[in-house]
Amino acid sequence: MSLYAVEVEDLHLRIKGVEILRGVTLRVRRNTLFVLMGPSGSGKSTFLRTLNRLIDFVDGVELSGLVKVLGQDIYSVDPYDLRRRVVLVSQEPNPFPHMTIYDNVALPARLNKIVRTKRELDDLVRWALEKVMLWEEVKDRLKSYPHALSGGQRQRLCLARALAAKPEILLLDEPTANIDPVNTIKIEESLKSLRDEVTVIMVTHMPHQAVRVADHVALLHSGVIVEEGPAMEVFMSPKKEVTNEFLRGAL
Amino acid sequence: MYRSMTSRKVRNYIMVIVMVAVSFLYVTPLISIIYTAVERGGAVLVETGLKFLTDLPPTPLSTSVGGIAPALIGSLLASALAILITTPIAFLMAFYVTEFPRHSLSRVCEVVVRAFSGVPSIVVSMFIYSTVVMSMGTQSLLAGSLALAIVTLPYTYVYFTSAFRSIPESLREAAMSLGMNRVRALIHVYVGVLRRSLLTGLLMSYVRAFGDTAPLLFTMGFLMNAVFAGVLQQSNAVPLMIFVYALSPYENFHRVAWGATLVLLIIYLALFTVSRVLVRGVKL
Ligand SMILES: Nc1ncnc2c1ncn2[C@@H]1O[C@H](COP(=O)(O)OP(=O)(O)O)[C@@H](O)[C@H]1O
Ligand SMILES: [Mg+2]
Repeated sequence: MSLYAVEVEDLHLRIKGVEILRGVTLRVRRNTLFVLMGPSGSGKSTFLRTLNRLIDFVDGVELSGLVKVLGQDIYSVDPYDLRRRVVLVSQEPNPFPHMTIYDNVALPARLNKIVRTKRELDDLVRWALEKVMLWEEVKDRLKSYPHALSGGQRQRLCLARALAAKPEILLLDEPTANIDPVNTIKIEESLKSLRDEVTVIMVTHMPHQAVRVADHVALLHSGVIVEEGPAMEVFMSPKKEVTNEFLRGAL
Repeated sequence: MYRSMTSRKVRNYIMVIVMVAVSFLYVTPLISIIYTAVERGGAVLVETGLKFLTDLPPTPLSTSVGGIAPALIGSLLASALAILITTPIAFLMAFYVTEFPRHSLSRVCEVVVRAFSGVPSIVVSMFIYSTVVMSMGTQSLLAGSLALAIVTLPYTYVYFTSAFRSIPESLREAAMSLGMNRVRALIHVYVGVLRRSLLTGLLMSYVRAFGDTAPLLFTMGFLMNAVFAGVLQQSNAVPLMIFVYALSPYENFHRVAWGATLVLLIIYLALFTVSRVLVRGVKL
């Protein structure tokens, strides 16, 4: 088994002829909380969507370079299988509105045949909701629908849904961009507690968030990785002026 | 500046008046038709009561009005059979075309549906007559249903495609992000989210089939002496009965036609209301 969850080498990606990623090279170790920082428009979402091939649904994408996820070239494996192992949580909370809170969390587990009995499923749903600190808030209304939840709760529900799918890599695209500080802290705490179970790659444009949670960080700027390393090193003594500016909030 | 403001206001007023007048021109005949149907048909229904729905039609010279049972049963069954045939086809086509808009098969689907929707329904009736009716040796409920199915297909298809196109991109992404393939996303997410629009489409297609006359002219037959004779036997339909009876010279037939018209309107309104009220929408 490869030491790395993700290995990317000289990834170039164009959408309709516009180069968005211009030679990204990056490795992410297994079971770390990796934060990819970068100002808006630097290509973070695009990069994240490449890792589990969600980018395949975008028209006019051309790609070159090597992307290995969990030891395999992503273009040599079945994309649906890849996405079951590498699950993405989007920036906007998107729970399934026609399903109860319980069913939202249970669906991917059912589809991926992670559990065999109803009992195991109940346990898994509870585990996932506890992980995101939502269990206490919803345990009495598992049969109600997500529209009854606040934005932050919905986002945590989406995170629980992703966890219940038992992914090997969890991709998070600015999961706290649109929610309040209390929910943000809860999500960050959940992420820290997941370190040993799953590789987390989170994207953010806010340096403070990276400071709070990251083991390892990289800065993406204009489609290239300008700096990368253990979180403490990068925050304490950035090697590049661009990084300094980004951390000061000047980008 | 001031002048141009006022002239724009004046133009605005004129446009509003024109729009109101045009809508009035459109709505007036509609309201007057409904009014007449309610007035004349209502009289018939009050006189006969529920028997109008369960009795056989009158003979020309009888004084009684009788009922429209063969037509009602024929219409209910033929429309149901028609949408039973079209729904799976329209559903799969609509799904395929919205998922793969660029595939050549999608273009073929679009062209075929457009061609279908352009064919006059009387031609469809002739076509089914020369194939199904000729080879079976009789007009039948089945032949009528097939003709209705061909005529309804484009409507069902359009309802379904517009439903599928309305799936929020965020939900598509949610399904795909969890590793669902398109079929799983369809079954577990899209159908649930779209249940209201899909069911409305279904009911509207049913209503559509229920009200159509021309496809049935050469295919359905005109069953009068029994309520139902079998799927492979002649049947009847409400609009067909209205058409034939309204053109007849007999006064009591005219009254049956008005009664049947009102029944048709009521069924239409009922199905429309059902689709709006019973099917709860999904709160996003
Ligand atoms: N589907 C698309 N079509 C065209 N351009 C796109 C598309 N998605 C992203 N882009 C462009 O790619 C660049 C990077 O976008 P994105 O990856 O969303 O950045 P970030 O997530 O860092 O804000 C932006 O300039 C954006 O306009
Ligand atoms: Mg983004």
